[in-house]
Amino acid sequence: MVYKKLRMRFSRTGTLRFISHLDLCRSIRTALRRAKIPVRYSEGFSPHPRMTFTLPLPLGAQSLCEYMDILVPEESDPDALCAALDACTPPELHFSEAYVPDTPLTDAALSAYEVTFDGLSPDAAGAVLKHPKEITKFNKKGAEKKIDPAPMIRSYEVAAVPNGTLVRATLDCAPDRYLNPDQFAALFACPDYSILRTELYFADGRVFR
Amino acid sequence: MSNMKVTDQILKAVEKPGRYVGGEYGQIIKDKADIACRWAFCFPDTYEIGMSNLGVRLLYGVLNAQSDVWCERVYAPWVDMEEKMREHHIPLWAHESGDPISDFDFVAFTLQYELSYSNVLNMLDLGGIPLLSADRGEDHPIVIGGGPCAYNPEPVADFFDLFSIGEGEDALPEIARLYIDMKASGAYTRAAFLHEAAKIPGFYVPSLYRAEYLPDGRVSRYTPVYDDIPRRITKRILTDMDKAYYPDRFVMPYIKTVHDRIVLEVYRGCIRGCRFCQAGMVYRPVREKTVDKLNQQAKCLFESTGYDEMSLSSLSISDYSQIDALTERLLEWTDEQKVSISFPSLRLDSFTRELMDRISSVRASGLTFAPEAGTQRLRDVINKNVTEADLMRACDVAFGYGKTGVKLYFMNGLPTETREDIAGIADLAKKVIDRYYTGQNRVKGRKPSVTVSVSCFIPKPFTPFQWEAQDDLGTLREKQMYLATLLDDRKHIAYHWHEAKVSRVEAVFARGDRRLSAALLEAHKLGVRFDGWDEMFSYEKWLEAFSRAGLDPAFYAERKRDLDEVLPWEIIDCGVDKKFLLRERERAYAGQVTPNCKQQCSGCGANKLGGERSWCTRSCE
Repeated sequence: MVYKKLRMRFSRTGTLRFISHLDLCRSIRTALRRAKIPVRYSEGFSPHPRMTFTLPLPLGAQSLCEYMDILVPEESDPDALCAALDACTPPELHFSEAYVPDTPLTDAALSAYEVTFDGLSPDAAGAVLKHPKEITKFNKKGAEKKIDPAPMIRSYEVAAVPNGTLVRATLDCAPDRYLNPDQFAALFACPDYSILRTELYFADGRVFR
Repeated sequence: MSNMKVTDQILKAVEKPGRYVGGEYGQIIKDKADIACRWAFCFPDTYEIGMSNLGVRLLYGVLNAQSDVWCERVYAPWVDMEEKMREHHIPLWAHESGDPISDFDFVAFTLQYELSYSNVLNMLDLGGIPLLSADRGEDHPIVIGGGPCAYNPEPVADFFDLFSIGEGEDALPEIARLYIDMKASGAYTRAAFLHEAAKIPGFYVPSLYRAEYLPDGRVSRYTPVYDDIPRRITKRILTDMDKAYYPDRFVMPYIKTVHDRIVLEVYRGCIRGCRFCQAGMVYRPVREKTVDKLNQQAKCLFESTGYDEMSLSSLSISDYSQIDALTERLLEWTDEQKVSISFPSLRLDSFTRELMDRISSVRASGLTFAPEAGTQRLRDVINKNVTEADLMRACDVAFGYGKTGVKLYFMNGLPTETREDIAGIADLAKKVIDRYYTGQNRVKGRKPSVTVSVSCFIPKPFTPFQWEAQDDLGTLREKQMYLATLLDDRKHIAYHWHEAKVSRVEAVFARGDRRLSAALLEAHKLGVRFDGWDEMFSYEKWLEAFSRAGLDPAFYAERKRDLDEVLPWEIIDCGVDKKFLLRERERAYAGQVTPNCKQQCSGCGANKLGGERSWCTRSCE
């Protein structure tokens, strides 16, 4: 059979913020079967649907713009498959669009987030963003690595919200140049925050699709 | 889940937050305005274990099938979440609505194992519901229990307002209806409702039965406090499994659970009559579903869940009279849909090439057999009815299919056990290894492995061994160590044994009386919970609890009962006659096996309850 690549855009909100990437993959896998999507299976002893995702979200984060690539028979109608899959998932996992993509998933280079901090003032947030501190990371062997987040924070704006501050920021998210939104939020030293990914972009600033 | 008190900060601080957030596909949400009766259905262990339980899925479905009833799920929070809940004063809530369980009309607990009793108390406490039935007022929920352990409800009697004895699919909607009707007519008070409930078959209201004891602590008698309630409570069963409710969908967990697959219940009951096995007795009579019905239920669940694995569930799946026809029918579509079928309860005498061909047609699973005892003499005593030759033949088949690992389950402390029987366990394990190396079909260049897993015998109510003593701790330990010295082939044989202290506490509660409620209450005050988890179990705290309650655990675990003694669980009639149990006990001591129900009726008495497709030769006459 001839297969084509299909990209599906979905949001994961509400309780799904506490479901890990691997658990989400398993859930989508059963949903694909419920929806009878004729997705291509891997070969071998234990066949499973071939699915590829954009970068995983940290636990606790919600997103309006997740992407998944699957392979489906050439003659499939993307809209019908999208509607079928969406009917077989809980409301908080919402599939909104399906199309044949022109680009690989790895071309997503920038990610926009809304990070809401409870109990943090806009001035304090602004001060952090003006001179973001180095982030110390540890690799698997425990060796220290310092990262300067400043060049990976492409743009930001700060707004006051009741009881806190909303920071809108666009961060690098390319495979080789990635600023984790949890690490970004940690710069503000305010433990009570929530993250929402709102859009992905190509390196040139066009909306990813 | 809309419990606003459970903040993201709390959820980020606990292990596996997915346990607590709900929102799964298939959960049932209703509008509270349409609801006359709300159930909080509690599983007194973690989410991963509770979500795997078929009984909960059945009762969740059957209650929610009532338009004016809403049943929600509740699980025991793990200790990290419990700490946060107590710190932030968050009462235990139900998954679907996020409402505290104290807001519900019924708080139901399924009692699957004795070691979960401490969690029942802890969950009531976290829910802000008085622990003792006697302390609850008009505004508190009705606390109801059921499940296998409810066949001896006495040790937890003080904490429950009501027990559902036997199968609940018809009984629970009936009790909900009584509640709704009494509320609507204005006849409802707690006392009036419980009195009416006690008149419905299969419901036991412990506060309406006075338990009296002899000076030595044994039960002397039970007396109903009203004339219009039964002297003994007969369990409820569904007579025709083809007509019984079966869920058309499951709640689909996001996180990994213990059994994350389609479960197809093929039949209830068991024809075998192993003399240590409570399930084999209390679930009688056998009632099968037809192949047509099962295939239809399997297809329906496949379509609604999308699972790629299906487990055929029953006490001994190969005893299903239509097992070949069923597997053939399922394989007509499961192969193509890439659904693998597993048989979790295979007896080793039924493990054949034909069956293996079917299992491995999609995916093969590990092989586990349960000879239970090491010698033919002791296997005859327990009526296991399998032989060494059966085991060797089953291993030949397995090895022929390239399997190298075999897991064998045994028990220590069975009645009449001697050192020869223990040595027999080691001999069997070695013979399996030898069989591999002398076999023709084995895969060259690989080494076989046998895992010997030994638990401690726990005498259970309504079994022919219900009068037996459990071995004391010293004896059990000595037996475990003796076997360890015999299993010296570390290269091929792994040996696991069960902690005897845990089995002793389980034995105390399995055959306990109502006075044990006091010990459980003391244990709860000492912070006891999650006894089924090795890292949480504290034998020292339990000993302290028994001592504070003035009770001796040896009285319950290690005392041989007199045959004419009033046993605490005899307030319940599980269908099987005491005369039958006594006959079976005699045959055990004589080393005589009893034919299974398909071969010959042994007159257990359970056929008085009725039952379609029951294999019971007498009821067919």
